[in-house]
Amino acid sequence: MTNAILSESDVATLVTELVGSSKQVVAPVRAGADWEHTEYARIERLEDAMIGGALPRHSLKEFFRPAQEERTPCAPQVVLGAPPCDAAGVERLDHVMAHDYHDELWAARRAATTIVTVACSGAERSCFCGAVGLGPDSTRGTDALLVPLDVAAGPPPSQRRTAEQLRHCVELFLLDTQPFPGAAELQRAAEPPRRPMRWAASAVTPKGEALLRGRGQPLNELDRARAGAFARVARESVASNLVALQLSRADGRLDADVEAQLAAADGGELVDPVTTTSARAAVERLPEWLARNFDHALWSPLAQRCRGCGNCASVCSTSPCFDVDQHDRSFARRPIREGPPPRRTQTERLRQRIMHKFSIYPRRFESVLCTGCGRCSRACQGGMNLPEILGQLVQLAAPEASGMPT
Amino acid sequence: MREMRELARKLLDEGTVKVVIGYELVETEGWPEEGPRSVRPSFVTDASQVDRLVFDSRCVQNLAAYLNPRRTHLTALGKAAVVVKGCDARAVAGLIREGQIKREDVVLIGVRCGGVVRDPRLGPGLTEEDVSDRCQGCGDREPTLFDHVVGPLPPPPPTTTRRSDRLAALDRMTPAERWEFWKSALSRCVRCYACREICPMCFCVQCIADRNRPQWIDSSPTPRGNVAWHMTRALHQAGRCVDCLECERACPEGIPLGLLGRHVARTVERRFGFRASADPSVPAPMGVYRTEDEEEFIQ
Repeated sequence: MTNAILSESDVATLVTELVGSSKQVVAPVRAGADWEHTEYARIERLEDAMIGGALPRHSLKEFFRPAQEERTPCAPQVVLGAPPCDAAGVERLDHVMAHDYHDELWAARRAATTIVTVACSGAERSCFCGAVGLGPDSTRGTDALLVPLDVAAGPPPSQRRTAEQLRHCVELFLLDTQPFPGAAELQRAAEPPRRPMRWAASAVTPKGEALLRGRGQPLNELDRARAGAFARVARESVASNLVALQLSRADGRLDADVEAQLAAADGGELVDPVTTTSARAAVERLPEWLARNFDHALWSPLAQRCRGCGNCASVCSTSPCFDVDQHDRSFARRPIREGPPPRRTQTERLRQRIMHKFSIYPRRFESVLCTGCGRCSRACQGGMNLPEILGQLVQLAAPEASGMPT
Repeated sequence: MREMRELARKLLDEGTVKVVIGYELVETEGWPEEGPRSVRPSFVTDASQVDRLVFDSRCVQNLAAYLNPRRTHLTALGKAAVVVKGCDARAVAGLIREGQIKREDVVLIGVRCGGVVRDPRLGPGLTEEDVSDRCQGCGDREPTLFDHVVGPLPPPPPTTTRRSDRLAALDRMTPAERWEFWKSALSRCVRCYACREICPMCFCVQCIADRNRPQWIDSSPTPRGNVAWHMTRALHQAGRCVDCLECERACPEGIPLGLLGRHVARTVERRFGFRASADPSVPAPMGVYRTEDEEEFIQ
């Protein structure tokens, strides 16, 4: 499999070639005018993309399950610059889409798509991928992985304010329909200094191999070490999130035997920080506990502040539910909800959400139905927070004196 | 803050209410070194927990939505006291006016308000950019519908003309331009109905959008269905919308739904001299027949 260094111009050439051969290229782009919001969109050139920026507002699922689609062969597409959690989300949905009913339209899009992820810096505060068996450089669902060798500088705090201001100007002037005086200056002020990027690229699947073959320069030892250092720092960052989110204790230790076994499996060194491993072990205990605690007293207080808006499911990269309408030649899918809901109260609905992700799915397909991207927490209008709920469940499910977070 | 907590403790201790619905800090939001960054709704059922309650400019959420009888998981808790800003109390008045709750079934803890931010993750300081559109020209900072009122009146929020400017810009457009604007904004709708679910005034047992025999509104996210849904909702909210902007905040696609609501409210105000106020005894135009109502459209 190819291992290479790709410069920004290599990637730009790749995009141009793909677009030239009528492939659709999808990448995170800036949403509105500020730095903290991006979303996936079709790009024509690399300059349009914002690789390695904030987590896009919505997940990738809409590119495999669009709101409206025709029953015609789908165009080949390449996703460029998704964080690894979003690729993992697509992979987790694959199991659902091919379980009891084989969704042809999903499968066709999956077959026609190559996903190139960029390792994440793990710096988002509400992320917890480490607790659900993933990491900032994991390759589940990924065809090729790029690890940044030079970290792009984010905008300094003073410019964030400017960017925010700019966004309001754009909103005020009705979504860019009218240019306003000073817009160009503001835009430039919000722009951080550009620096050409380089990535260590590795193919994970034959599809990724086909995309990368013959591109870039060979990877040297120094750059290999830099890529390793990036991944290590990112994993530490996720681990500190897990402690801050109380999914793991700062001094969390594993059972000595387990630790030795894991270290042996990792070639003498624990790849993940201990806090991550400990949080993951705790989450892995949930399916069994949840199955026994359908009627636990906890569900009712947990659901109180839920406003029922469903934003958590809308933005979730692994929430598979949709409703289908058939028109003459096309299908329209929209997120959930038709007619009276099958579960009558908010408590039942919240319980189903947690059960589906952390009990029903894992008992069928082994991994949990969550990538720890944290979108649901950010989108929640009631201030609910999945890691917080998980933290409570993990404590309830912990066997006594296990060294799990208390 | 202490006044509110003591009142909550008294109400719970005396058994006047079973739950106090207010605001609390989100401890896990924001980096630890910065401290809690956000507030969220809080449900206090135990008097020993009243110290969780806070109120500041981040408390943008309209808690009256939790009184909506559709939320049976909350009505099951028993009688509630709810913390309301003057503007939120208008939604409570709406629910009373439309027979959804009885005035005596709820204890209202009014808070004097100095304006709130657009998003609870902003603030607590209020700047011209951060202040919510709903605070523009607010006349409800001093609550008028309450059982208890707490806190001193903070200074008024920074003035913003953001929304009136946007409405004026829409007014200046030709109908064709306006249609283009709304068509483009509504084309983003995915029909998740977050706007409906979060709305304190959307309490229908079965929404017309969920009726499929016959299907009044195309349920898929097509331009036709989207326009039908949002127009139906805007008209159904005429004279009922309290302009709390919860729908706009909840919309995952960032559709400026508040503009639509405000436009309709403005029309109702001009035509019927009615504003969805905090006085539940004033009937809404939709619910009353008056001989002096204009009827120039009947020819």
